[in-house]
Amino acid sequence: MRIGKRSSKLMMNLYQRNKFKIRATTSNPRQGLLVATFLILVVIGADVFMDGAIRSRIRPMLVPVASFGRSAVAAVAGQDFWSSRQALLNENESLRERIEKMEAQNAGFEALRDDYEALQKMMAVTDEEGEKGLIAPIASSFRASPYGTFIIGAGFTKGVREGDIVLSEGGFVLGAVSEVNAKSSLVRMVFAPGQKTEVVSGSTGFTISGRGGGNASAEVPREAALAEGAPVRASIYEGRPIGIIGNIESASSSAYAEIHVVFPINLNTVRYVYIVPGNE
Amino acid sequence: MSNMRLLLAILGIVFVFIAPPWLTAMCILALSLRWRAWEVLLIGACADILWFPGTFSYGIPVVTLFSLVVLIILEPLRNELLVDRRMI
Repeated sequence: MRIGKRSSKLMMNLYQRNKFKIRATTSNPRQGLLVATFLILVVIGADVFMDGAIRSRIRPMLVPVASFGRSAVAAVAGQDFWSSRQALLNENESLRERIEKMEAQNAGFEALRDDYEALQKMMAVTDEEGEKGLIAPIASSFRASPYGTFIIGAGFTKGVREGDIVLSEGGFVLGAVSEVNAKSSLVRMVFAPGQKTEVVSGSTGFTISGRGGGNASAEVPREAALAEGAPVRASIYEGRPIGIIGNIESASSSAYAEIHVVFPINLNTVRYVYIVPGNE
Repeated sequence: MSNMRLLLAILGIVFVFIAPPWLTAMCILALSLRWRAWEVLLIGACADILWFPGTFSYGIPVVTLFSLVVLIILEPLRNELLVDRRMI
């Protein structure tokens, strides 16, 4: 009798566990996933149907987060946070407190000076371009987008339009405005992955293919008269420079040389851009 | 939802805003390998809403599709090799 009872309890336990397992594995999670997939497909489909209207409504809500993220990363990177821990431990405690106070004050001045210098550099571009454009801050990371895009803090309320050309300090073209919201705009970089642009360097014309991160490459005939460091200009951006030739690789067995075009300014240091009206 | 799953989902969302795309992709992969994670779709959609340029004439929303495909193609692997079924 006892054995019978025990085995029936065991069976019951097993049965209960199986029942739980079936419920856990088949109904709820799959249902959740199906609902999520359905929702995402509906949202993306509706967005396609409405020509990006859903994205343009949601994106402005996400821009402050992207802007905050950029500032936070910049702050952490600028604080020697990852430097030698031992060196920090060796510092005298009282001196460290004093230094921290002074650094806090200094950081304020530095931030103001950086802003001033960045704006002054942009003023040089403004002088070259005349009075037709406006200066806007970068509101997102340059490296986070898989599409080679970034966000600037100016939108149609300040006169930004789709197709406007975005310049960095030195007058190099960073990209073109591809989507405009009220207070922010999305810019697609010239060197966005896969983006092809017709360019000219010296007297040689060729097509570059963007690779992201401020780099692009192209194949040109080996005899082409190109020099490293020479500026590369694009007629689509009214002949403005978009980068310089970084290096030229050619094998004697090949009739073509591969050239790398790079953006001459470290993208992480770009904080303001100058926007001029485009052709479109 | 386990702590690890929650952590990966939050990291994935944060990476969309500040980190290189491959880090977001790693989070998507890790979540999809271990769990039947609907939040992977949220991460993908978030990336496309924020970064996808202009209209769809520019291309397709790669990150959403990537997350969807990864979630689907990893289902047999999740079932057979990696997942303790009680934890799905």
